[in-house]
Amino acid sequence: MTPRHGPPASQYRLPRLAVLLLHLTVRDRDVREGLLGDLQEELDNSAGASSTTRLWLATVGGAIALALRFTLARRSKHNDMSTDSDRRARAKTALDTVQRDVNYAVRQFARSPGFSLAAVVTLALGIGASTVAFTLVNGVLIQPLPFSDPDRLAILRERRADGSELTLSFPNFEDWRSECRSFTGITAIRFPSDGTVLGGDEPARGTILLVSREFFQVLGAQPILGRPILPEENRPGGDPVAVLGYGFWQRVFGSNSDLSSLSVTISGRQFAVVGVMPPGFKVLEQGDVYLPLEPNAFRVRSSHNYRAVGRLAPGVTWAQAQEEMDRIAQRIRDAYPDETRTVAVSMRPLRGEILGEVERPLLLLLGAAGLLLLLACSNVASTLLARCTAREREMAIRTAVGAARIRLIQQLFTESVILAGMAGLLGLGLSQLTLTLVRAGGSDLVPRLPTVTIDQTVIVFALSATAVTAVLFGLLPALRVSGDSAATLRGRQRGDTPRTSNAGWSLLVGGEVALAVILLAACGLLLRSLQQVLAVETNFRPEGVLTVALDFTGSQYESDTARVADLQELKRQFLSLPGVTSVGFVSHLPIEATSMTGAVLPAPVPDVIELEDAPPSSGWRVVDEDYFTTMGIPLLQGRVFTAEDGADAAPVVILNQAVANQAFPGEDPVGRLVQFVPFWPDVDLTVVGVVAEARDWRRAPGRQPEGFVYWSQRMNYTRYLTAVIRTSGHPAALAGPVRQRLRAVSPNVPGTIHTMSSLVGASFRERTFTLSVLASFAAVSLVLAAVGIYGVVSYSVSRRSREIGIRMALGAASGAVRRRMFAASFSVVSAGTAVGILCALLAGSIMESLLYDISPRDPVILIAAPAILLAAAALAIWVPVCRHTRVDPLVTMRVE
Amino acid sequence: MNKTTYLGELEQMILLVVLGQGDDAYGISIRNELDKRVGRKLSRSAAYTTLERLVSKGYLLTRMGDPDARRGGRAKRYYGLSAKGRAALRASGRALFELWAGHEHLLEEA
Repeated sequence: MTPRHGPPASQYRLPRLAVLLLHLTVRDRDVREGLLGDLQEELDNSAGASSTTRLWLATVGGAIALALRFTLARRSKHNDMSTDSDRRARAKTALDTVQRDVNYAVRQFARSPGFSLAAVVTLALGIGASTVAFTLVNGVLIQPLPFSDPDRLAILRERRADGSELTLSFPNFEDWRSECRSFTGITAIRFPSDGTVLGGDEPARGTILLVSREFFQVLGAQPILGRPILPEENRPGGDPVAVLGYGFWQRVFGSNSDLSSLSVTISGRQFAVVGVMPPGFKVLEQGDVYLPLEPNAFRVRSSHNYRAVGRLAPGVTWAQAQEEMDRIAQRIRDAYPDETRTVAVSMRPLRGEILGEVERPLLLLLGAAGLLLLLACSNVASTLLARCTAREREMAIRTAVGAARIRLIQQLFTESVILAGMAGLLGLGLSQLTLTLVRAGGSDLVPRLPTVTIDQTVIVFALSATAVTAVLFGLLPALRVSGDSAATLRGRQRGDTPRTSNAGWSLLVGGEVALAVILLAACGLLLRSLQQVLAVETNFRPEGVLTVALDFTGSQYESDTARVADLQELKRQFLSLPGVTSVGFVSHLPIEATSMTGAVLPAPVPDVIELEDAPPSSGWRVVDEDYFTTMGIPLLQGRVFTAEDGADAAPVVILNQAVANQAFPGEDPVGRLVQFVPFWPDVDLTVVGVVAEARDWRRAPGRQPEGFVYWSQRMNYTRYLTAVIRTSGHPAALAGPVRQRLRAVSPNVPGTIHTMSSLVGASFRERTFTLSVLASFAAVSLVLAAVGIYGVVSYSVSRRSREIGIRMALGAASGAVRRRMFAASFSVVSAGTAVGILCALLAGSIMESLLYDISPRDPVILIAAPAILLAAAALAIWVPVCRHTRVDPLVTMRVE
Repeated sequence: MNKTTYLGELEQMILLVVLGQGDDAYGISIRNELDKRVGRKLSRSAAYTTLERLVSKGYLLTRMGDPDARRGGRAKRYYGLSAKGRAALRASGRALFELWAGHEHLLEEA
């Protein structure tokens, strides 16, 4: 609406929207021209009286009103002989009707608060659960990752001729990044390592990620505080700087936003903190500290310690990039045939890598929540239906005296909408509460969980769930009453039950039961699966063990002898504490990933190793002589280390069963010679013992080949050791005295203390998280089903109280009557159960990948779940049946 | 139709205004007059739909004026009473006068 220049013509142009609207709705050209002219004239008349915006709004508003009125007028043109006042009266009546319906509904609810409350609560549970599930799925899967343009990010791996894939070596990475044009950048990320981080009030354990200089640019991720590591800092000789993960910054530095005052010390080196990443930021692993990789890169082409993420250049397709990368890999292979056997590059979308593990459980959660919502709806529907039948007489009378069928439907519909509305609000509140709890419980388990909030999409989802619910159970009762009123009145007089209503209930109750069986079975399977995981022999005993992670990187521990002296003194001190039975040292606990990996090869190792023959990489741990005993790891063959295996003695090694089987299949490994490349090359190690495989929950199932070397033979690996202290008492109570002794012996050595059980528990929470969510779903569904069955049976029995009265008056034994009533309802429940079992059998394959060592068609579960449900159902039937048959038949008949 | 249909209140008012304005009655003038004379602020949408309804019932006739630069080059749509409109107005008026007759004093303000 810009002021026009030129002749006396109109000052303002009509808003285009207004013109368009009238063109669309006013068919008659003359009428339209008159209208538009009038609008223009009025616009000019009021010009100057108010602001341009207001004029625009007023004109468009007027046009909208005109458009609406003309559309409505055209619709009612044909049957329109009424006058204006008639029309207004009709509108008023319609409003009054709604008002009356609302009032009536509220009175109905007030008359039976128990029913209303039950209906609202059950429905709210369903809505709440589905909203939570949708929020999680939406927040974690649907919404984009915290990187810019995440779908252009690929995770890159080296691929060998046999199709196996492995992570990168740094020299290969350097060649890739300098040669390839398909990516705007590729960044390398070192395998994460857990380490002690100093700088906060207390020493802390943290996951350290070394990242190459392209990291922040490739991911398009910026710190929320401070700045990223600059490329010039990320090269040999650059300033030592670090960027922190959000959670770590909160936990260790108390969210101190004055970054210039913060620094972290890792392995004796100090890094200035320059930035903090946003909450929920995670690439493959949650990093606590991000450090420059380039100064410390391990430049050996055969050592694959890096993961790589690349960002596709604009306009480049995945296929083009793939082709170029394969070409580069071939060139490297041709240039260094002895050092690499990588022939191609594997490219996968990063999104899949990050979300792959949680996708299925979340979708399962969504499915379960959908079932639960369905269950809640059918529950309320059946209850409402029962009540509606109770009001059949009222409805029939109202129909008989002239109420239109549509009015009855309208009124029942209003009741449903109000119920669902209240339930929707309550459900939203419930889901908010649940999400808060979930965030508190599983923030580190589900990627990006901390950033998940109920947003507008989810609110829309909750409201539409509510609306669908309203329709679902609003229509059923409404259709039910609109039958033949005269028949209803007659039937009521005779006091018998119309068959049709029973069929409706049977369908609903049966359906509810089937849904509940499916949910129960799913939960049972997961529970059993968890049990199986728990039953796996861990080969270490975490109970009664306290761990102290020690960090001997201070300057006074430069010499090995100083460290060993302290370690030995510490061991003596810890042993002298009351209750302590043994003390050992290890470089990495069984639940920690060891950063030292390599291959175990039987000696003599040929000069040129046929790369195709190289075994999978094994983890290496440095231990002392008491570690195995203290941790409770069983010795299977040979012996453990002793003090005789000193620095000058013949080098010895202990293998775990997995690596022993792999290096010496079917042979006795004790006494054999092996080499560990590349960490202890060119030295033959004598195998002195074989220990059982100490398993990590997080990595179960699967083999974990591991080797152990004696600490005094590998002194330079003793800067970070963890003391494991076994006590006959409670390990947590030992923390104080242990800290005291540590301060006394080595005041400058930071120690991070945890009980072994809590460490194991932490790695275990992941599984219990999904399980507890599903378990609560199953519990809720069981309760819902029982309540639904109770409501329906209770009503159906009460309706037949006249029949019961007559039977009992005629001499029927009350037991027989009860059994008859019970059998009638129970057969419906049994049928529903059978259907549920069938569905569970059919849907089993969906669950397959979530289960560990158990079939989705596990007979125990498929018998137990229905049995639990049948028991609950039997109770829900028996109670009302007894209640209604215990009364004096005379009383019942008189009431009738 | 063997019974007379009477006009609604708003319809009567509008027909009377059109009658009074002779050849110059169009949307804006009609609304202004209603506002000025009886203080009835009629919304645009109510006014135009009622006018067009009266046209479709045959009570009003219309003609287009000349295009007017001040109206963005658009013509006015003028309304005038048809014979049927006059008859309907007369019938409604008579009925009201008939019913009013002799009652004025009962409603006189004290």
